Amino acid sequence: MQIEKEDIQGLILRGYKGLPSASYAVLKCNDPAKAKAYLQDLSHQITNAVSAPKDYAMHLAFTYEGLKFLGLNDKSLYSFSQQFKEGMTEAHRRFILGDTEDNAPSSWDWGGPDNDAIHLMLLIYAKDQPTLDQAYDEQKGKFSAHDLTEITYLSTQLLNGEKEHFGFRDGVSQPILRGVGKGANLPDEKTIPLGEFILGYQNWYNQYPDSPEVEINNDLENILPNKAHNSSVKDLGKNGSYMVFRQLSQNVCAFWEYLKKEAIEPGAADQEEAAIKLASKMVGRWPSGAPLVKSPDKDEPSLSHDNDFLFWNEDKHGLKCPLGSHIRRTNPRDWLLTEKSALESQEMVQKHRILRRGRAYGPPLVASMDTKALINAPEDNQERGLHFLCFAGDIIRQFEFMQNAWVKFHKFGGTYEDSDPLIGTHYKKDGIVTDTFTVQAQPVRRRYQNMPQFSKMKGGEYFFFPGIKAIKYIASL
Amino acid sequence: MSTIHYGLTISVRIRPGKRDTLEAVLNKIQDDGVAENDLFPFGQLSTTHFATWVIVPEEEAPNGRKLHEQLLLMTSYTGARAKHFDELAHVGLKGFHEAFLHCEGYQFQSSPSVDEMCRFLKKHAIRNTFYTGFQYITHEQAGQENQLREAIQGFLDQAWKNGTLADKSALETRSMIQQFVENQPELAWATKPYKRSFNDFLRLFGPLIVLGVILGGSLILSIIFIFTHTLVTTIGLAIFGGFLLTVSLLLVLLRINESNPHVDVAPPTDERIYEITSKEIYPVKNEMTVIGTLKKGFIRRVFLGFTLWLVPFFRAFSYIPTVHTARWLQIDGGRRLVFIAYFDNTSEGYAHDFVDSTKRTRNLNLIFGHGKGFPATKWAVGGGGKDRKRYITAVRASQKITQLWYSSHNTLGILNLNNNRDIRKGLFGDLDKAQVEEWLLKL
Repeated sequence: MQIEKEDIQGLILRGYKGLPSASYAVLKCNDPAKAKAYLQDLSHQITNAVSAPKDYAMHLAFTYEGLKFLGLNDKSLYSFSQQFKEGMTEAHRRFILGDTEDNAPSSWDWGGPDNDAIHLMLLIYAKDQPTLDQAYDEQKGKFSAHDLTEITYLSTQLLNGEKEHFGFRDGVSQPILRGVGKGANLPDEKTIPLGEFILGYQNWYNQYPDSPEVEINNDLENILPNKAHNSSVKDLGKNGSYMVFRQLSQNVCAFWEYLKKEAIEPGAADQEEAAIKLASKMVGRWPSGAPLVKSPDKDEPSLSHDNDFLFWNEDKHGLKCPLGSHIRRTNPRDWLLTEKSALESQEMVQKHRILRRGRAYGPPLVASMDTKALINAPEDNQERGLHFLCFAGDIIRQFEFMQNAWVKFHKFGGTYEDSDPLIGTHYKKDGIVTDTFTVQAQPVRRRYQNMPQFSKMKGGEYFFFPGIKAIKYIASL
Repeated sequence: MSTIHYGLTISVRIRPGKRDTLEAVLNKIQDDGVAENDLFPFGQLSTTHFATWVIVPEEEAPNGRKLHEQLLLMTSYTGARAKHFDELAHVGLKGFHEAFLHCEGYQFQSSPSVDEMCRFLKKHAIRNTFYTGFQYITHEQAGQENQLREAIQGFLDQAWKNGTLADKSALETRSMIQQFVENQPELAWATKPYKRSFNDFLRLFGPLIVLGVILGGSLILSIIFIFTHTLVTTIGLAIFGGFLLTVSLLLVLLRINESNPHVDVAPPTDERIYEITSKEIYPVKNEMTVIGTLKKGFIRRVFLGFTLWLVPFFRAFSYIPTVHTARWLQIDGGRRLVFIAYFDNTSEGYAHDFVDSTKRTRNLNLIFGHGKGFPATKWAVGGGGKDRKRYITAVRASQKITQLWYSSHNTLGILNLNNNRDIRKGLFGDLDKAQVEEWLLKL
């Protein structure tokens, strides 16, 4: 099937490395008619996926409450996925995601039941800060005229060396989309079907993902395409996706303090080296990005972009990259302890991938992002973290499964008390302990216990990230 | 004592109009704390790993036949069956009485004796096909072995802090651990090398060996029959030919039935899915109960019955990744299929254990393929679960709310249970250097 790049919002297909400045405006509509007039205007400025934008890109996402407020009818609303309709902070979703204890929505800055309702997110990416400010100011100038309230404005920060705040290169591993970009020249087994991330295309099961729909007589202007397998309804989801947005605050000083205090990694020259080694064990990569599987004993900057490795044969027991490390949890590749072979593991893992587009926010603790400087930097009490953003064609099968069964679950990989060391929920309650990290080693493992939670949820929501035609349709309601 | 893990199912029909009062009894046990309530303190059962009490609703079979409400008690246990019955009756006497008062065939107006209750339970026990993810581990051993693992973990944590593990070889490290365990009086049981009894081996593999001997022997006799016509070779030919003919006939009849147009089930509403999944609130283990009628056609009942008879022979080799135990059974003369499972984490992940693996999808089809609404199969194992959407829809549509369920050792995942056993086995086992290195990786 031909990919309709002219209708797909460009952010799905591109990470916009050439547009390093970005911001997200979280909005609430107060008047449906005025809001739709704004959307009419904005729909002509949304950046599609045909070519890489040079100056800036503009994108728009809707919450369930937003679509409801704008007047989408009940039947169409019902056709969205259950997780999207319930929202990220519904009680059972919190349990699934680990948004409990320190992550509980009651302490969030935005989103969730205790804060203002969210309807839209406007995402702007630009080549530099002045261009971003100009694009944002232009939009902001229209907010009051269209009776839009800005709930929060989330800025981003590009950190030196493409790192995240703890000091590790981020975003090295991404799924490759079949038939697009790099994926156009790769065999099928190295790529992922479009339908895993974009609605209206086939997924791993050779099926079309569930996609929201509109009855034909509710689209009299014929804006939307027909559904691929049911021409009696219009496909509101075509060329769109579900977008997960989570603001994760990172406590960089607490992270390195714990490591400096607890690290007993052998072979390290001093406590700082031991701390870096242990931190790298937690991540699964060295600060440069070099994977531990390929360079287990020391950082190897020449491997900083290396993503060509597996676990089953290379490191089955986690002696190089611990079984509970962050990268083994978020993408176990060909290793699942519950499976009998690499092939069976891969078969399972590939059904649960996400397409990440997150960016860091807040000033770096140390501008250089040099690891040793980070370790010794004093606390500056600045807010910093990650605006985690990802796309998935099926929220529960992809994002929630990954977050629940791999990131949060303290039994992942045969462990007993280990949640993800970086982004897991760490607690002790009713006999359940999740704040341990185990480093497999010979002759015997080392365990790090009583690990504080280094990342904490500050806000988030599930969004619908529609195709451009769908935005026009919603604006026409 | 047998350490083979079995499933017991007791089925009793509910008296007309008594469902609500019965449900209230079950809900009370669950709400008062299933392990430590007054009516049925499941936590006192030393033979039991898991238990479920579920009300099977009234339904209509595809041929219009009314299928009655039933109460199913399903337990998984190790040890002698008679002891398990006895313990159930002892511990649960009050709860059984309160529940069975609303069921047919229960004649006692006041609480019966333990023996009388035992007889009632035995009378209503029905056949089930049982799967377990852990074998040869009793309820008591599961607790002991976790205690042993925790003690060793604590010892190693301390040893790392003290620096006493520095530069130690694998063999030296194991010796240190052995010495530590030997010095703990409460762990004295663990110093005796682990041995599995031959009787248990026979219990698990015996039926398969017998089946293999019968089929293999009859095959050989059938070949000999070509050359020599004796009574023995004729019997061999009859057995092997009969088996082959039965399987072929079942397959052909099933294939004919499979070509009937597929009938979808109505997808459950969001509210219904929420009602089911929001009960999965336990951080380690959860459970699911799926009950539904079979697809139309007599062959479905027969084929499923044959499959459920055959599967237990191979139970030592079955594998479902995150499952502690599962069982399948036919009720109402084979017209309904009941499935329950206890698994690590949530049902969304568990459901994917089946459909994301080609091999397991084939196995799944053999049983679930007969359920109403499950995607159409081809020759019993093809198709079916490959249609993920229909599969998930059918599972959710047939899923029932379980009124009451109990699990022992709530903090242990299935991999933990098996790993604890490996730790115990290797601690004083006869291991070479490579095996010691591998054993240490389990700690």
